[in-house]
Amino acid sequence: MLNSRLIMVVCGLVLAVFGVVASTPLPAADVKITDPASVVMIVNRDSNDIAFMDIKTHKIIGRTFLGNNVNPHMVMMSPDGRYVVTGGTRANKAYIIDTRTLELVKIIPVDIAPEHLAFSPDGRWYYQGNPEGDSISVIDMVSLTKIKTISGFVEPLNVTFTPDGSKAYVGNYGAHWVGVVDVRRHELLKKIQIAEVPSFSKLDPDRYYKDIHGINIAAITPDGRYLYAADGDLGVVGVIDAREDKVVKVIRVGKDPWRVYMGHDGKYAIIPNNGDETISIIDIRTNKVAATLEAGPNMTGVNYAAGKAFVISSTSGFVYVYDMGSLKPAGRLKIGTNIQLDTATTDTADQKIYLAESTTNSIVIIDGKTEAIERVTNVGLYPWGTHIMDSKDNYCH
Amino acid sequence: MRRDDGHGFRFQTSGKRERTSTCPNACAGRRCGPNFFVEWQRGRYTGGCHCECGSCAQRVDAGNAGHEDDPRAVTDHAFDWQRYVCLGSSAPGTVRSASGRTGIRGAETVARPAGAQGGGDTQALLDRIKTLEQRVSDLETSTVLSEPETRTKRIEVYVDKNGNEYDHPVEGAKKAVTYQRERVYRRQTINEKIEDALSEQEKRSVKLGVSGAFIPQFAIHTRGNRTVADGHAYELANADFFFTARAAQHTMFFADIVGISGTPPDGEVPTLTLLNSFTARLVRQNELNVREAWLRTDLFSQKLAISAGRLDLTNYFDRNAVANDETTQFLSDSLVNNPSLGLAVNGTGVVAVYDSKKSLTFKIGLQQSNPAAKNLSESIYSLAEVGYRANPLGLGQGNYRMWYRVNDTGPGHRTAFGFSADQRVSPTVTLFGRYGDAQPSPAYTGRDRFYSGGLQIHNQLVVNPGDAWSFGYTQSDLITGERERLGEGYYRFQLSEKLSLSLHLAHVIEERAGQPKLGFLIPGIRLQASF
Repeated sequence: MLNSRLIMVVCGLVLAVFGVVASTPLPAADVKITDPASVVMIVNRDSNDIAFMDIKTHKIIGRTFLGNNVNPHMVMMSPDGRYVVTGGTRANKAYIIDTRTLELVKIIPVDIAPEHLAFSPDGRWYYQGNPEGDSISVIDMVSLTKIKTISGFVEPLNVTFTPDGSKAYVGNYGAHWVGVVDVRRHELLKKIQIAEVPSFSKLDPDRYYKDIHGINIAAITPDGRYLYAADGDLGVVGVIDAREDKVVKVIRVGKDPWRVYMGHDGKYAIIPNNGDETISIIDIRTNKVAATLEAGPNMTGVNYAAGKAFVISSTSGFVYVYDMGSLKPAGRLKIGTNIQLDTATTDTADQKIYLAESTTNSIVIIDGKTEAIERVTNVGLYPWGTHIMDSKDNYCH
Repeated sequence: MRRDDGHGFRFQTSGKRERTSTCPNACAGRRCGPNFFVEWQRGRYTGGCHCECGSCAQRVDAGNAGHEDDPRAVTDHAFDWQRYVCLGSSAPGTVRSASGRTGIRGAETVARPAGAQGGGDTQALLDRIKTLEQRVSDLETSTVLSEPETRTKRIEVYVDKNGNEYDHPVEGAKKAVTYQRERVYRRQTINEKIEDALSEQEKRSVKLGVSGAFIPQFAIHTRGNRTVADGHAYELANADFFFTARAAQHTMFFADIVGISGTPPDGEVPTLTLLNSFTARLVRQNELNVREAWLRTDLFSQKLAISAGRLDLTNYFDRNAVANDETTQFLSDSLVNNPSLGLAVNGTGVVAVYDSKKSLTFKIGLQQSNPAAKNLSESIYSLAEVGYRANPLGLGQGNYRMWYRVNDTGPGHRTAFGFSADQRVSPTVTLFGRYGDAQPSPAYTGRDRFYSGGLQIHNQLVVNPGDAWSFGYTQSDLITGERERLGEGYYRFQLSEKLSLSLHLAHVIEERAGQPKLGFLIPGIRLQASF
């Protein structure tokens, strides 16, 4: 009896010690990020890591190596700031990083070539798009496990959740429809065709048979009421009513529209038309093209800051600037010669843009107001994406 | 996050019980991580962890979990594999992850065969083969070049007077640019490699563009005395070859060689301006002509573009968004260019265009406009233009241009000025207008005047999305008393990206001093292919 009591006491003490140890916060040396909103995350494709840059000092405060030949594509922080996730395109895996310590906490096999991703607004679900697997992997951020693979897509590029988290809209770049996913059951509910392929395609079958440029993303208005989806081959933007999940308007834009970038105030959306090197500005209130303006070749992104739109022309080395008040061109910024500009994010104050410039391993910081440029070098090999928590311009290629 | 200094893995159940196994040397020190598996074997489900190399494994027998006869339970996640987590990996010196995996995937690949009671070994082997086949399939799907990618990169370094090189600024060291090999771990698919190689080859090669048009037209007399043209048919065939090549950084060479054959209506219908703009500024038919051949370079952050060579200045001045191109818009020359420009032929010259990509653009150019001239001074044709982009009244984008020209070809010094505007008034409707005022000869005190206007509608009231239709009107009033009024409408079917068919109908009225008015209806068709 005495022995059993002694054993119980010892066990109790051991448990207590364990409890104390477990509840002790990590040593300060292990905590690298205390405020998740204080860093810019940088995806380095060729050094296979995620670098973390302090927004104030522009110093790289840490990086998480994912493994050789992982080639991460897009990075995103969970809404609660606890985790940072990325898809390793050539590893067919999703990577979950602890934001505080920058340590890799989980590697989850997904489908083929994971690229773009999104979190449900409550942060519970991480949807990882697998364009070459034609699927979306659903990862539970509580158990950090993949719970389902939703199939039936055609080169799914981007996922957009509704503000209430009940539905997710998936742009299919290999088709001309937007997929609607029931987030409660993680099932593909519906396919919404944006517009019909023109009848004259019979005379030009090659245009529609090979290398489809379909729908990149269904971009949602800030109020969550409508989604705007551009179709590259059809040269149109379809407006989807999120309540009824039907197309309520088709707006013709320029040639080969890349995708829709929603303005922060919800008044306008910009669509870069890579086929004719223009941008179309859509007035969200009237659902009409308010302006078609000259731009540059191979546009890969649009960022909004200080009342202007900054359009990234990846191969020209220029960022084209537009005044969103007058809807007129406001010049262009020369970032460099013989360089490749990739994508950018905007800070939460809508003042500074953090542009990845892969050829010189740099991040170019553009002040939206003064248009001054600052360059942070040696951030990693081939940086091609950036992300800031709660930014309104978190996107990828 | 776990660290493991040994070459093994741990197998943990429900976070309580942990068993450790050491991987044999076969895979130690290599990329060998833990994988979760679940198998149907000997009538029971077995799961656990094994090294990636497959040479060692930790197993747990789940046959008594109560689900062995219900494969659906596995796929419904009720099966309790989720409690099991593989921990650790075996690559020393690296940070390793805890790779947990539920039994779902394994269960999908090794689901229990219907009616299987015994012979589990055979089935397990079959299942193993199936799993391996799946892995081979995955590898084939994303076939990659696994060796590190090597490429050359431009880098900035700092070199001191002793030739020591630094990658950061050092006192006394100068900044220099050099090139260095870089090796990265990037997996590329075969497709990507091929695309890159083709793209690189394309950049270095001369690009060829070809455009061809076939334009039958007819003349129907509508007013005045009959002429020989009444009821005649005309036909013109045109072939354009464009060559572009990158000569240096921001420097491009361009050449346009054109061949025209046929009989346009202008030979018989007596009009002030050409009824078929394809023949404008061309001297000879039935042979190849160099229409343009120039070098262009961009300076000052590519804001200033200078082109020099054989030029067609109408490609730079008096432009218009909807009335400027005989290959896709109007056929009548007075709706393609302003007659007040008075440019008869292309010639050697130079043009500078300053575009800040804001509202204003400036252009200035000069060229030789008389091929028979013995020196440039006798035939200088010069132009200057200011352009302004505006959104008046919130209508949409508008382009407004004003130009001034001086022509020294022939005797005297003749001037002209003009205005060209296009204004989008809705997403589908664009209005245009031109005005020109030219001094025909130093001998005259008066001036020739020219007006035109119209609209273009695209993507509205059309058959195909790429179709457009348009209507334009022009009037030329010469100081000699001659007058021409011309209206033209067309509908363009965009049959494919490279092929278009347009139906044109023009009506022209010519007035000559002391003569009755002459009227002609000119229907036409244009079949245009561009590659």
